[in-house]
Amino acid sequence: MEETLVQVKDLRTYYPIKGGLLNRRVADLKAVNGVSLDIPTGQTFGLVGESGCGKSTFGRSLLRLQKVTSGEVIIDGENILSLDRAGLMKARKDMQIIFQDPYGSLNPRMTVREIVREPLDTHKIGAKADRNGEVMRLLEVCGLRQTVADRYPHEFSGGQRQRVGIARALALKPKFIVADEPVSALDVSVQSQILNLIGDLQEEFGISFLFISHDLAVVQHISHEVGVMYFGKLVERAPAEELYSSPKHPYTKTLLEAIPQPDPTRNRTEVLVGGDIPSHLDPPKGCPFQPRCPVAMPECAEREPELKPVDSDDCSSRHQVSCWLY
Amino acid sequence: METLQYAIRKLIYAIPLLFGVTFLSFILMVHFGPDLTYSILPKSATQEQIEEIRAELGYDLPFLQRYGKFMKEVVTLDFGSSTSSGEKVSSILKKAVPVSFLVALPAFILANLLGILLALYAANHRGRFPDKAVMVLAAIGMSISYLMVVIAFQLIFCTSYGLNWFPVQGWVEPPPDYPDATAGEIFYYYWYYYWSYVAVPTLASIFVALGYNTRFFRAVIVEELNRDYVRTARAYGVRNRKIMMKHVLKNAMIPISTRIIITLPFVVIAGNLVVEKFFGIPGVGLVTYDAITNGDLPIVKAVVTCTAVLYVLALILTDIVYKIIDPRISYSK
Repeated sequence: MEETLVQVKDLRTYYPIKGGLLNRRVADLKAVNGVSLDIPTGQTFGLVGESGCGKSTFGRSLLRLQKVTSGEVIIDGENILSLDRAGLMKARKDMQIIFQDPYGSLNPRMTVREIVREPLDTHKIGAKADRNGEVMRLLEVCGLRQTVADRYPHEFSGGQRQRVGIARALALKPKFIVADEPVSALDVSVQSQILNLIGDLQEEFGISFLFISHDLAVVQHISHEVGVMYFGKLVERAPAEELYSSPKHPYTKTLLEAIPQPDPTRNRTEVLVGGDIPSHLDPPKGCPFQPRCPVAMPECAEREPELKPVDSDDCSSRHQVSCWLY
Repeated sequence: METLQYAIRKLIYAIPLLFGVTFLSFILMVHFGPDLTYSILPKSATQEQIEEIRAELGYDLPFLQRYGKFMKEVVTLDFGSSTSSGEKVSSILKKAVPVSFLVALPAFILANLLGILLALYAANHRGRFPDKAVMVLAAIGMSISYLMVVIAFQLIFCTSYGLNWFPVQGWVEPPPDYPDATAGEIFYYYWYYYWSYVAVPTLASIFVALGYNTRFFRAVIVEELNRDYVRTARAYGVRNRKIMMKHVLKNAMIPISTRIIITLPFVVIAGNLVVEKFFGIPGVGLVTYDAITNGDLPIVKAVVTCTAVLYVLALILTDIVYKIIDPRISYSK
């Protein structure tokens, strides 16, 4: 079995909800409510879910860009959440993030050269004179011509900006990159270019990715393993092909149904889910998906299911689902 | 070079604006302005006397001709002589502008500088106690009337009820004529009296402006802090101080500099009516105040017109500064 690079144990991130006369904390918004997963070296874990299911919060929590309530994040043998300042600074070299909005994530007042160079300067990597060459190499790796180095972000298209963002993320030679919806803001044709770039980089440098997306189709091409997140929890996780060929959780099935297929004769079973994500202030009893679930049973409204292997005889199975049907 | 072209284009675009501004000034101040006929004449004046005076003051001219006369004054910057003292308006302003400038400048610089520092501090701790403390103090500063602040500071610093450190009113007089005074001694004389007259007005102005500045600057900085590139910088470990300076403050400087430049005309010429009146400082503010109460139209015309023109120039200056500090603004548009 491959070596595990990233291990997350029961991660919880709550946002306080303030209210009342004294503006005290009256409740918690459980954005991430106990997620565990592991990512082997050089593999991609695709995390899918609707807007507001907590997937971005989860990604930020991993890198300590977000205050975490409880849980453990172990990256390359170190518990990220218990590091002090100096330790965290060192760990930051190994983990990076690519954001969704290629317009917002580049400082408009800095040239591409300065943007890609800043991580190198921050961590004092290499001799000052060599850093420029390193910037050029990174740009080339990401498919940008070196002549663009002295331009400003506003002179680029969305796809090119995202390449700059990726070059910056690669600058520190990280082992782990959180890609937070890196292609959602791009055109479909540009999406595939960026996805291919990410795939190539992974092959070349052996980087592990956590690939966050609301689009199952995007995740399919790039992930080794896929997790489906709903209401702050993983409801199903499986190796990519298995999830797409035999989805178990009703929610996963719905998401897969929603992918447009270029086949008009396909037999669509209309199990589309209506309604919205339930309110975090007043979570439903039992399984959080039960109010929207087409196959809900009485049991679902009473107790919350746990994430368990689908095939209970085969404990090594990586296909897990949290549903009372299995 | 390109920046120069840009500046010139902006100046050309400003010409219609300048026309509009001066036209409005004319309507409000000259056409509907004070009529001095009856304050000059004795009680039982004859019709001929009235008409004579009106002709002398130019009140009988048709609208367009009066406008033409006014525009000539504006373009040549020659507003004639004060009707109350008979002194040339230009020489009155020549004396008053530097005084206003000297009074307002320290307050202007300090209020903006302190405002930025406090805003950075508050934004850095946003949502937590230091932020709330700063914001509450700013709200208090904004809520107290300028007049009350001036009176309170005068009581505290300038009277025997309080500390009695500074004179209540007045302005620096030329030094007494000692034949063997060195240049250093003369400089020290001016320095000493300058600060003794300027300290309390400066404190009062800072007190009043700081609240507004801090709240505005904080809002701008917090907006910048929430940007993705700030979060990215944190992700690769840039230190907080560097993030605040390099990523946040630099980008926030665009709205901040607008606000600072827009207030410049008031420092240079509009002066500060309240402060100069209360502290008896012979700057533009006091001159304007007296001119308004005496109906001294040439002075009011000059001050209002110059303020309007400077305001337009300040707007152009903002555009040019934008151009320099923001690479996204292109030359061609």
